[in-house]
Amino acid sequence: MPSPFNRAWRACLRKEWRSEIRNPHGLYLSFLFGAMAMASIMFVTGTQRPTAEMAGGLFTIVILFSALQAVPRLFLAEEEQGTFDLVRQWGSLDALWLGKALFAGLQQLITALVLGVLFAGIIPLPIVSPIHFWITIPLLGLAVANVLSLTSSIVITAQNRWILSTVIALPLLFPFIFLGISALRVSFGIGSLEGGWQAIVALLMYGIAPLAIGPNLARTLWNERKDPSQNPIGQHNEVKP
Amino acid sequence: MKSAWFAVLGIAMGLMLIGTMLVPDAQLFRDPTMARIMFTHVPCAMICSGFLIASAWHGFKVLKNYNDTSATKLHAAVELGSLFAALTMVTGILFSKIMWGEYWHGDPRQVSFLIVLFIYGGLLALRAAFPDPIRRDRNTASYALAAILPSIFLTFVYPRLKAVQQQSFHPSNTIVEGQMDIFYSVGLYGSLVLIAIIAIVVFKLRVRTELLARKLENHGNLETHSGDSASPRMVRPVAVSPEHLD
Repeated sequence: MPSPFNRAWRACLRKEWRSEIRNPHGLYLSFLFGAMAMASIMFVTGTQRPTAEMAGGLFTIVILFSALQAVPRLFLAEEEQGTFDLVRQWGSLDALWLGKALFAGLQQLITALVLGVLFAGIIPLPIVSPIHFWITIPLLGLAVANVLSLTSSIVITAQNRWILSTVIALPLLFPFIFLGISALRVSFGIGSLEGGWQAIVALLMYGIAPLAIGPNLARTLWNERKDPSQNPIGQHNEVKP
Repeated sequence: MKSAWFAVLGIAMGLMLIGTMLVPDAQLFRDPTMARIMFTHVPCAMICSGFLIASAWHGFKVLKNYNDTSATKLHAAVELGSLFAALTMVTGILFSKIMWGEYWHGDPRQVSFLIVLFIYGGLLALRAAFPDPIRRDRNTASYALAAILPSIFLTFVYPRLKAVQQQSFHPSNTIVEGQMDIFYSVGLYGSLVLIAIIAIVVFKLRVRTELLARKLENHGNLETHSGDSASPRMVRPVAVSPEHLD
């Protein structure tokens, strides 16, 4: 028999999946944003042949662009539509965060793979190590989705939350950009295979970290009942009445 | 007693400044006299990293058990960390222009430190985005805690990666391996200790003033709050239709 926690995150995942199937905004937006970023990059580079590092960097930026609006939307739209309070009644807040983060990961996984196919067809560089390429791409998508889920859950009730979610996420995403480039350059034949594997393992570890911290933060931040401002004044500050 | 302590600190700071001017020029640099920028640049960078860790620690305490003292310490650490990060950046850019010929050299360490500065920028932006003080404290605390892993990567791991070391003009192990001469070692450690003491004193003052400000803010509430009235917090704005206004 599934525990309430498991029921809650599965329900949240199902809700997100069904609303996406009914009205495919997230995947569509994510893919379109990434494809446009890729087209812009191709337009700027023109007929020049990019280096392996540059190709890795360009694709990492494409993945980043594809996630920057689509993932925060999963969280911020709830507050804007006025459904956040309702969703919070379902179950434990950490399970709800996990459900949403897993859906964000799934969404970015699909987008990253589709964009990866496009990129592999467009880029005028041979993919020397396909295994590195096809492992790095979904990992990059998942890791970026996890970090954005974390930052979006922090800004959910903030003013200017759409801009803020991106602003605070970008510094946290720098290690992913570095690790993504390190792994992708190996797939284009630059650097040692060992270095590529190290970058992939680091990407995996670093990508999992938000899944560990995110549910705990959501449990604290989204819990209005524990908000000390609702208690008598003397309890939330150290001034003795 | 306190004024005597501040006087001693001021005198020590003055002596340190004079001392750093008296050390011999570092001949290996392009402009040997200006190598003294490192007496400010390196301690500021170290203290900035210290404040990042302190903000994560106080952030953890805010989330675990909310209280005004931890929240105030968190904000003080963020403010002072931002100040020291900006000082590090400015002195680094000056050093880059003098020694390497460009204000922005694209050095990996410059880039990684710029991102640390952006993390501080994010913390300040986040703090400004919540009108409710408790939400402001908690959300800033969350970001401070979430940013600790990337901060450690950017400050301690990334600059020491072999590929980065090969590209960077920044020496990686000069201080750790004691490759500086005695004058520069004493000057650097002396500056570090003094600037750190000043940072701690300013940190404590900032915490005290902020706590007093919070007490003043709550003073009216203490007089009027009876303990059984509705929560003073507004949850959501209420839409009023035009007919109700008539």
